[in-house]
Order: sequence, then C-alpha cells, then structure tokens
Amino acid sequence: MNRKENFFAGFIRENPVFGLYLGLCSTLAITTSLNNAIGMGLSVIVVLTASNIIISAIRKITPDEIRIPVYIVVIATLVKITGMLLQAYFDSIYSAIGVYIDLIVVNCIILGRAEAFASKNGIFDSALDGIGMGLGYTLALIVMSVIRQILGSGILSFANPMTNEMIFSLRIIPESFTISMFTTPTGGFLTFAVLAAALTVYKNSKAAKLQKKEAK
Amino acid sequence: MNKIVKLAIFLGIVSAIAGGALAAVNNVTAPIIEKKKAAASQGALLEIFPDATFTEVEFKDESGIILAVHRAENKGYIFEMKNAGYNTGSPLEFMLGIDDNGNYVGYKVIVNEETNGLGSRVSDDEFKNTIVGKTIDDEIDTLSGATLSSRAIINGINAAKTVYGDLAGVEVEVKEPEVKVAQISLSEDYSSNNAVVENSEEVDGNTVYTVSAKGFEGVNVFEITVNGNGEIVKVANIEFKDTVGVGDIAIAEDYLASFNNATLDSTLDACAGATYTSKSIAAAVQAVLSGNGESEPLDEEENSSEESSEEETPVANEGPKFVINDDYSGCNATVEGSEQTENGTVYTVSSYGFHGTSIFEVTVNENKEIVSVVCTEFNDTEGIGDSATTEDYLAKYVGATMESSIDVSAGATYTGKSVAAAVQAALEQ
Repeated sequence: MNRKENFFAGFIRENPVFGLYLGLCSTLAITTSLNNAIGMGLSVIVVLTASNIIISAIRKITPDEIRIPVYIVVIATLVKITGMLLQAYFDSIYSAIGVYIDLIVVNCIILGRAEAFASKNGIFDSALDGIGMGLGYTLALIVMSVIRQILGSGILSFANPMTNEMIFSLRIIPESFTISMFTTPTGGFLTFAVLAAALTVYKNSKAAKLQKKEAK
Repeated sequence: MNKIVKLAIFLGIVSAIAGGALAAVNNVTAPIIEKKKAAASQGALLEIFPDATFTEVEFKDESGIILAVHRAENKGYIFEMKNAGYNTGSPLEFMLGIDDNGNYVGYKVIVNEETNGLGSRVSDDEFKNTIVGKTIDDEIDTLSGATLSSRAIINGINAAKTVYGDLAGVEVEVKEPEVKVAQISLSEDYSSNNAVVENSEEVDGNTVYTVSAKGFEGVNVFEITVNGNGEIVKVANIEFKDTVGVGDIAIAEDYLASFNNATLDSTLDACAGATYTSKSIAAAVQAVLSGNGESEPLDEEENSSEESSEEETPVANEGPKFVINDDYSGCNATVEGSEQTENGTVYTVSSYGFHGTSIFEVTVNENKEIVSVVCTEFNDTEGIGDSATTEDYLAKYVGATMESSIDVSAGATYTGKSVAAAVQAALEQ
C-alpha cells in the first residue's frame, strides 16, 4: 500500500471520528473548547503512535491467543505515563481533561489501530499510521471544538498549556446571540451529526465521480 | 498445559515491563506533582499570612463546615471551610484567617459557583471588606440580594469563631447572622421589571388591577386592589414564576401586607432572601400607583377591547409628533453613503423599523434642510408599515430641520420612527 496515501487516509477518508465513528465518547465530552481539543488530540497522538510502535515491534513474539490483553497492558501503561507527565508538566490541561485521559485506554481508536494495523505491519508504517490517525482525530476534535466554542460561548480562545497564558481570545458572536446548548453534550451530538453527514456526502460524491470515470 | 504456562509467562513479562516503566515515570513525576499541589494550597495560605510557616492542627467542629485548620506560627489560624449557599450542588469553599488578637485578617473564596451577579458577589471585595478588618467580637451582615450565599459564609465564620475560641482559649460569642435587608423605594426605577397593567376591574368601589412584573427568572402576576383615594388596599399574588423555595417567601401574605397603604413615596423592606421577587412586587405596585391618576379604569377596558392583533401600535389621533431631535438609537440609523447633487447632498441611510432595516435616500441642502426623503428599500410589514413610506407621508419631511416635529404616521409608528431616525442621521452629517 502506498505509504503517503496510508498516512493521509486518517485525515478525511478514514477519519477516525467522522469516518470510522471511533472514540466518540471522549470526542463529545471534550470538544467544548479548543484548548481541551488540542490537549486531548496531542495526548492521543502520543499514545497512539507509541502503542502502534510497541505493538508492531512485539507483533512477532506476541502469542495470538493473548494479543488483546497484551495490547491493553501496553496501551494502559502508555496512557498512565502520559497522564502522569501531563499532571506534572501541563497541569492546566490535566485539570481540564484529566478524567478523559484515563479513558484513552478504552478509546477504540487505539485498540482498533493496534488490532487492524500495527499487528500486521512494520514498525515504521505503524508509526506513520499512528501519527496520521492521531492527526485525523485531532483535526476532527479541533473542527468540532471550534464550532461548539464559537456557537456556545461566542469566544474562540487558546491558552498556552504550559503557562496557562492566553495566546488569543476573540469574541466572534456577541454574548446575547450565543447558544449555550452547544456547550452541552446535546450540542456535541448535533455538531457531530452534521459533520459526519457532510463527510458522507463528500465521500459519496467522490465515489460517484469515480464510477462515472470508470464507466467512460 | 505447556502452552498455557508459556502464555502466562509472556503476559507476566509484559506486565512486569509495564510496571517497571510506570514506576520509573512515577519516580520522576510524583515529586513534581506533589510540589505543585502543595504550592497551590500553600499559595492561598501565604496570601493571608505572608512568610509564615504552617502546620495543620486538630480541631473539633460540630457544624461540619470546617475542612481544615492551619496554624500560622506565632501569627494566627487559617480555616478552610465548605458550606452550601444557594447552589447546593457545588458548595462555596472559602478560607478565613484570624490572627492571634482575634482580628479577621484574610478572606478568600476558592470555589464559587453561585448565581452570577448575585451570590457570586461573596467573592467580591465589597463583601470581603465587610469581613477583613473586623474582629471576632463584631457581627457581619449578610449581603442583600445574595442573602443565601453570604449567610453560608457567615455561618462558616461563626463556626470558625467557635473553633478559634477552643484553640486560642478565648471566650467567643456566636450570634445568628443578622440579615441585612435591601430597602425598596416605590419611586425607584423598576423599568427592568417590565411591569404591565394587564387588566382592571371595579369591585365594591375599589379597583382591582392585574399586573404582571418580571421577578428573578419569570414573570409574576399580581392582583392589586386600590381604593377610591388611590391607596393600596391589598396585594395578592396570582401567578408565581420565580424560584420555588427562594422567591416565594416574598409572596407570603405577611410580606405582601407590608405594601398596604403604600404610596409612591413609601420605602419598604425587601423580603430577605428574595430581593428580586420583592422588587417585582414593588414594580407592579408602582405601575398601578403611577398609572392610576391618568387613565380611568374604564378607558383601560376600552383600550383592551380595541387592541387588535395588528403588529404595529395604532396611534389614532393626530396629536403626537416625531421630534426629529429625539433619541432614536433603537433604530440604529446608519449613513451608508453620500453623493453630491444639484439639489444638495443625498445620503443613503439604513434604519431599523418594526422588524427590518429599510433604506432611505435623504437629500439635504446646504442650509441643513430636507429637500426630499425617498424609501428605496422597504423591509417592514407590508400593508402596515408601508403607510409611513408613501410619497405623501414622506413629503411631510420636506423643509424639515433638526428642530422640526413631524406628524406621527398613524398605524405605522415603528416604521415612522425609522424614517425620523434616518432623517436625523442625515441631518447630523
């Protein structure tokens, strides 16, 4: 398989959130602000890439019967380490999304990629897949959180996760016109549904074009 | 059998490596995390007693409010407390510093998720200043409009006082917090309560008005009985839409009776803990008292029967006028562009009418007189607002200056106002 194509698949075509519908609980829960989305996205990239590398490295010596428990031990260890590092060095992000960090263990994206990709491919390809899928997940989180934050609070802001210092904060919608529902899970579901539908329409139209071409 | 042992050993090895890695990372991060946590709570303590060293002390607290007591060596005590105010889901968490002489030296709210603008004010300096600087012998008043939240704090302070007495070996006297009540004057401006007299009815020589007025979160409806001399005989609540369990203490008969015989000059106590609902009552009473002299109850009824479902307020008589120099800020008239012509300067002005923004071309000559007004884009109600944009009506503006008054466009008041606003904006250029 083409490496480049493989790497970019996670962005749009096989976007883990909108295309594969993986890891939705954490997506709906943390996309209330851009800061949370980026913090969660980066954590997932780190865990996903590291777990893909490790699982790919041990794929030949892992007995098939216990591969799932082994994956879970590997993933849980990496998640716990990420959580501890975040708590120690990025405590503002940790206080916002710490609860969900532990949930990465059961985030289907990671186990899904381990099972579907890393256990069958080489270390380098697995690392690329981890980064690509992780970026796709992050992209999905960013798109959703930008929409929800702007509609819900009218402000788009981003703070430096190291120092908690505000980098930018723009008021885009006057306060009286904001829809606070978008900060609740209800708004998360709505945003998700609209975006997932949009991606499906895009994919269908592309497939239709492809078919036409072949027909010619 | 052999296979199972192999699998178990493999899983064991993987787990051991994972455990080792976790232990290694934990070794590095645990001290940093610990330090950060300590710095966070220490920071708050140091704000109250700078440069002090703190030790936690044992204490006996019957109220259950006090979470921890810190002894600042040679200086005093800091009490960490948690007590629910209005938001019982997330209690207030706060700190109080009492020095060895019994003075309140510091007060800091750490968690405050009370209603924004009301209970949230217990975090403000206004309330802090009523505590810091006082001593354990002083009483602290609640904050009117934030009675429940401030009472939670004061109960905490009283609990701290009791414990302080034990620890420092001094006698302390703890009194129930005295509730400070807001004064509501009936001549105040209650326009934000939007009191509207909905109806009136003659009963045994008295007039009973039905008045709606906005309270804290909903519109309450009152029946206010006024006698022939314009005095309040009775106030009764017939519909209550404020917070149940909070605002409803203000609609108790006892409290409503305090409005009896009130006049516009009266000043009454607000009902403690329900300041906003009390204000809605005051607004309703004010609406009745101030409207009483002008409109006879009979008119009131005629008006209400005449009121049609028309969108715009009909103004039947020729009397009222638009004063061009009036305040039309609601119309948001904006000059979008201008152009010099033989007749003068033509301004393109957008102005908001009843539910849409219409565009006008207003021509002004060099003497700052209106030469013509033309509506180029009409976005108000067809068939209603457009009577204010007919050539005939707009011709009334010809020759107008900033000092002029123009007849109100009967039946299309809002659109008419948008015309006046546009003309005003053009003349201001």
